[in-house]
Amino acid sequence: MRRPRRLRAALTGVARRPGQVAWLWLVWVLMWGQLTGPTVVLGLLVAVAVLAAFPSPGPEPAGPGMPPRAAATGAPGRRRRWRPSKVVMLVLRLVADLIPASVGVAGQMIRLGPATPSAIIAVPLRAGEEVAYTLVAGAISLAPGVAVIHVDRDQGVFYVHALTTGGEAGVEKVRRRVDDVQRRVLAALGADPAGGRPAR
Amino acid sequence: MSGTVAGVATAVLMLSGASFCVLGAWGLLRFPDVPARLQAATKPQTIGLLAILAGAAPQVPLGSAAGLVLVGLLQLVTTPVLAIRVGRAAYRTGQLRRDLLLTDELLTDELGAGGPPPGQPDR
Amino acid sequence: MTVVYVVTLALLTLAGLLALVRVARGPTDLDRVVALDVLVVLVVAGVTVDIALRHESWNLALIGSVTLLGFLSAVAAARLVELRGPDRGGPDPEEQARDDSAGPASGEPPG
Repeated sequence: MRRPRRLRAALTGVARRPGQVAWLWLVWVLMWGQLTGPTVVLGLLVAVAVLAAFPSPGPEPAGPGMPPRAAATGAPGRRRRWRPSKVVMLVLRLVADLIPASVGVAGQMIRLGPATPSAIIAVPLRAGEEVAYTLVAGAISLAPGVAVIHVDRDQGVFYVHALTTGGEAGVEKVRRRVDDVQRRVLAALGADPAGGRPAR
Repeated sequence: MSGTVAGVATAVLMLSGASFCVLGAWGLLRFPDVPARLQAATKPQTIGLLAILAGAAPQVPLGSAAGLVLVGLLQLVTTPVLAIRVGRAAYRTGQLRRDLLLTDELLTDELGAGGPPPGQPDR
Repeated sequence: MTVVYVVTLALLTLAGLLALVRVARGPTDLDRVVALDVLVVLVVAGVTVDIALRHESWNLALIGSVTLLGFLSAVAAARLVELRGPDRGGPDPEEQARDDSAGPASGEPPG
């Protein structure tokens, strides 16, 4: 009688990941473009079935350099529940921030040219869970002039490549700007911005 | 839905979106190395595409507008991953204008930690 | 309204031509990967304009799939370049920059 037990295990695994179910369900509903009964129900069934058949691995365990609070919630099997509503609100706010950001981006395309200096800057990582720093990386990818280039979970740092025009002082300004973005994203998610490594 | 408000919205959104795409391609030509060009390739193009999708939304029935939202979401979700992957590949294979680099804290940190340098050729 | 679509498509075509220049020039493979991804996004944008002008959304599945496939391909290509290691991705960017500024008489074509 092994199959019912495996099925139950797969389904509990799915139940532990409401965010993923919500996302797949949303994709289904948006594809069909209607909120009728069959679409909604079938979407839920398909989402659950797909996630049960192809379970995604859990979050990576926290590394040795992680801030203690983040490490505690990052332990496997004790995932913090991310309320999908908060994630949605954050995404909407990021899209709203897009207007000023796009002015900045357009300006950079016009002003900067072949001799633009750049810098690879370290910023303390203040989030333990993948969901959190994934959203931080997404927010940074919409900000003008900066892009995440490496995330080092063990050391609690991530590195961004920035188009810098201010010399050494400009580097510090970018570091602070990126950290501000990170803090705002984490605050919007309700996660505690943990200390991370001491700033350089 | 072909009222004038919808028409104006479509016009404004599509034309600005297309202009952003042109600006991005222009930056793609002008910037000095792969990571900078990557920024020119992802940020304005994403913004431009979102604007064009939003411009198309008033012109189609509501259900199809949902599909346009989906494409926008997919673009938003995939672009950061692409950026970090290509950026890392550029860094690790040395496709970076080091003469224009003010500071490379990733290199300093990795060397300081005693780990192997991230695979780029010695200069 | 047709004017809007024509101008939009013309601008997208211009962006596409600029991106093609980058594809042709390189000089590294990653430059080409990046420029080709730009082209993919521009194609999606163009088909979106088509969706708007026809008021029909038969091509939605197309642009959704192309977005995902374009992303996957770019990531796979980047991974391939990364695995090939340094010096295989193309000429050294600094040398290239110096050669470019020194003018066309300055040297052999990049290996």
